[in-house]
Amino acid sequence: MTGPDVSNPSVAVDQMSSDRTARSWPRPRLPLLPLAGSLCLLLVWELIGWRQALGGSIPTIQSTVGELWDRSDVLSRAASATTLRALSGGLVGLVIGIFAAGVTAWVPRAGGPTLRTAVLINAIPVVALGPVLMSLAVRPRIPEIFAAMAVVFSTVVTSSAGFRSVSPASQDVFRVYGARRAQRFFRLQLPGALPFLADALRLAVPAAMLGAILGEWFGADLGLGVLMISAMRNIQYSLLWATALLAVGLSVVGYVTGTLLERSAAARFGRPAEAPGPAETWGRAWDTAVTLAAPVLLVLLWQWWITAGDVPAIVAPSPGNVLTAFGQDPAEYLGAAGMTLISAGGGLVIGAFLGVALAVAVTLAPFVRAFLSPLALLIPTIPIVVFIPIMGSILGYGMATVLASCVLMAFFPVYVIMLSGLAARPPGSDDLFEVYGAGRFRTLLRLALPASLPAFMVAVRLSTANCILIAISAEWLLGRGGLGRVFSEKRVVLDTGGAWAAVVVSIVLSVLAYAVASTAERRWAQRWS
Amino acid sequence: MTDIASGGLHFDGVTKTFASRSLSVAALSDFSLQVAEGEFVALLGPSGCGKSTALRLAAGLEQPDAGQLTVAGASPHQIVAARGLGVAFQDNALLPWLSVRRNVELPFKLAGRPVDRHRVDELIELVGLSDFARHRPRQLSGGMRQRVSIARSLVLSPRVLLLDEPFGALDAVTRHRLNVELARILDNERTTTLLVTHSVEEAVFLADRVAVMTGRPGRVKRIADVPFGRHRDRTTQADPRFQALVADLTLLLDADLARGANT
Amino acid sequence: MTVSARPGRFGRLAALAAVAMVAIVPALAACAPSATQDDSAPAGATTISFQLDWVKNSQFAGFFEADDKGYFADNGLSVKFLDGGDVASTASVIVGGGAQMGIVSNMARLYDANKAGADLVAVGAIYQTSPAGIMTLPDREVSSIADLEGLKIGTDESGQADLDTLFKVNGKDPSYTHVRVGYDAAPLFAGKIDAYYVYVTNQPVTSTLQGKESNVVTFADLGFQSYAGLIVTTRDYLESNRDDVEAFMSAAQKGWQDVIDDPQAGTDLTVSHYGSNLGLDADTEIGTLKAQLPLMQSDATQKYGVLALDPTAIAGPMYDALRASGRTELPEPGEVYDASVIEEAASGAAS
Repeated sequence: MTGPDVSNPSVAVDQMSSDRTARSWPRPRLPLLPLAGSLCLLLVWELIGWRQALGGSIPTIQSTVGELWDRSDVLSRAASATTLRALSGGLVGLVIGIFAAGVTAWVPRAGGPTLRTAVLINAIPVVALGPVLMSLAVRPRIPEIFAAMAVVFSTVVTSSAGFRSVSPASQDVFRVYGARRAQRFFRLQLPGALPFLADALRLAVPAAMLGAILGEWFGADLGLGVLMISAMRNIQYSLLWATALLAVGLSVVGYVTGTLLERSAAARFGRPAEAPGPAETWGRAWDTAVTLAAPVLLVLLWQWWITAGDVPAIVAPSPGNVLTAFGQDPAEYLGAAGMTLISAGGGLVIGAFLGVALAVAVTLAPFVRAFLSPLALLIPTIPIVVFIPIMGSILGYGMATVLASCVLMAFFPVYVIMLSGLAARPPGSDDLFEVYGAGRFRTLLRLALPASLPAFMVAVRLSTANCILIAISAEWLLGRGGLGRVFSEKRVVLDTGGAWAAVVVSIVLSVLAYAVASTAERRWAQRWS
Repeated sequence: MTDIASGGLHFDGVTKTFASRSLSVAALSDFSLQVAEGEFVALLGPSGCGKSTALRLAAGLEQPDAGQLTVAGASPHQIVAARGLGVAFQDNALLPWLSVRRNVELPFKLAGRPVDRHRVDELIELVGLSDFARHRPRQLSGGMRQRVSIARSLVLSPRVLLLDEPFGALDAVTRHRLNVELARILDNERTTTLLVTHSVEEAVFLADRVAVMTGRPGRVKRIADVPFGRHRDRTTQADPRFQALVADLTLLLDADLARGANT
Repeated sequence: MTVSARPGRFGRLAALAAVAMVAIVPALAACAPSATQDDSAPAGATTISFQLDWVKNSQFAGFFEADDKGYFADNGLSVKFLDGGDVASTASVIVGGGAQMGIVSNMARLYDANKAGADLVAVGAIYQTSPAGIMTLPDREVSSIADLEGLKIGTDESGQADLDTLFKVNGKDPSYTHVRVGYDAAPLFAGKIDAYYVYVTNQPVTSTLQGKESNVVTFADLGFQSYAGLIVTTRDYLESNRDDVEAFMSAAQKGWQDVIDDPQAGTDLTVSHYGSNLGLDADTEIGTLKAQLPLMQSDATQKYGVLALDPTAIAGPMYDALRASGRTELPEPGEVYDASVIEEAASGAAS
């Protein structure tokens, strides 16, 4: 840079990288491909609907659209109610999540325990909370509560990473100029975290929508969730699909809005090139103690609520009830846990395999990517729980559907994260491989795949706990075994202690699975860097 | 207290050890260095010799394990509290969401003082960025960002200026040009300055005295006076005395590195 | 020079949008109609929250009619209907104080709730004959339990226990292949199962509307007697608010009588008002209601009006069925089923 050194480095870098991409991984030229992909998707749908294939539970496009038109008043009332609940609940969850992450910005060492507490809360299956909340005064706000809960985890994770993303040099500058803690937070960490906060917002939109819909299954009398359950029970498939379509549409709108916000925040406030480092700790012993304190506190709060509120066991069991129920037949719960684990693990393995395979295929043949891009936009916004009953009508009631739900759950994050993992290769390595005349396959095998391993591990960690949660939901709705089934059976006979024993086992399972996955991820990351 | 004692930067027998779980590394051991008021001293050494640690101690970013450290007659913490320091790092540490002008104003805001608009204008002018005051850092080149960083370090008229490889990430040509500019700027400002660098040319070109460090443990090996006045420009480097001193110091560093490699 | 101001301006716009969103949401939330129905309770009226065991469809038309025509209000009551999205929750909602009265789906559920410590009392039953039944294709006739032996029978999550009881009450071991299916009769028409556990008011009606004929038999026809749609409250509430409970039952009887006289009006009221948020299908709703009305009739209802209870029937065949399901230690029928509420309500209304 010798001339009057004015240029836009980021633009230059962009151009450089896009030049390189164009050379070794040709980009699609046809903007028509995504359109063709969309049309293909619609065609498949129409064909299935028209042939009454897959159990006849999938209506044709025209009957679904007809339903959207005919029942536009009911649907729009439901959509606005659900959207409002998702927005207000999601906003509360977002604020709580950002606040918790903000605490980690003030007390960096609280980061580890805060994240782990978030993992713990995320492991609580909301479907189990619904019946308890129904008996309480908060009943009309269940959709908002679920929306908030669905948002908190990803918000805490994303925004605490944001607060950690501020460069150490900037922190030093602030300290040297005698900045107070508050100044450091409001002038440095908060603006620096804004792109991440916008990212959290983007992720929150479909999550809040899903939470609100789930919450409406528990005694609301208006909303998309109510329409879905009513349509499901009254066998109004066109209405069910019209409602699901509307829910997905709203999620897409929210997701796209969030994406635009995220982009503009990143443009304005700059996204650091490097990933934020890991959370600080107090050292092993303290850390363990603080982390263990969260579940202990949770159990104490629970006991206090039962005692102080004089809550009858038929509404919610005490921790003692749950322990007794578990003690009476541990084998039943552990056996069910084994079955849930098999479904979730199998789903994870198959889903991850499919995700990697598709990401590789798309990397090798970019036109496939453009072709599939409409699907890639849709899948993250689809509340998978909505499709469990539909999969049930296709695959039958039993393990196949549970497994398929887990596959769907695992597939998408792995696909998306692998796609960026395969694209993120060490700087200059592409040129190196090209100079040595390595072909596309060899570059993939020796460069892109090994380089993407850390990304793969992140994807696996993110999917693990979710797979267990979705397995339990699927078992609850239409399984023939597993923890979800045990929960459902115990609940029907109002054995709340037994039902919650199954829930607690599932929480422990989720947290353990997450811990194992993140330990594995750390080990690999150390080897790879 | 005399003027010199109150104005300069003094390390007396400073020791700093970093301990991790398995090993401890002595970054500085019995390190002593005096920088008089208004003097510019360059701390020169290979990477890892502890020179950045010395600067971070002076900035109050690290605490010494032993020894005395006074900055403008006070402890680093007192001087930080009095907003008496200026810093510039290799990582420019500009806030990407603020314009050039707002970045330069930042120390006023952090000190809770009213922004001296005249001073800000003056410094932006001094680093030659008057036309870019409203731009954001990402719209500037690397060299321009470092100039903003220099302007920011001077805006509060600090008692002591601490520069840690401020041009370390730039290409040789840009780096040289900025060195010329920095010499001009500091000729104006006359601030007590400690520059940490691994570039012999940069050290000799800018400083009144060059302190050469050895690594493990970090200690000053030799102090060389630079035989030029403060007013320096492109012709300075052509001076045979400049070339001789650079060659001399380079040899010194090289010998030290070779010794390190043999052990 | 490639300096552009665009991202900055766009960023400001986006920030503005975010702020606007944050500001608008609570405002909207404040203006939005509350999710529950509007409580225009007349002054001095007792409010009763009534927990349904299903979404607000025509099977509850009589209660809606009683509300709409002001029968509840005439009796000094303001009734709030709570949706039953989750079938198993009525008992815990009432015990938890979320509702004063409600509908528990069947006698086995009521027994289980009380065993779990609920202390509920049934004061009436919508279905004098449970709508539980068996649906088969037209070429298969089921008239006795022997016709079911060895078949592949599909049920939803709760049906298997009922089917087992059906065999046991007939003195047989359950000898059929159980297949778990959903609420849709599609597997039956696809030949995946031989028989399908249904509510005779539900799936057979929907299938008929789709032009698919089927045979239907109720569990009662096969020897399994049970009430369904039990109207319950807690013992405490009944003892301290007996007048209100009687007032509720008498108004509900009037509402149901209107529906029996004019099922179409009851359906219209459900579809266009009380269940208007559900997108109900009018043809299905009138069909299911018409299938339901005969099941609401019995000797007891001839005497005391709809919703009545018959202590002898409970103590006799119905308790036999409960015992067959493995529920021993049954309490005295009079402790859990209070037939006198509706008898007094009926005599009060007559006088």
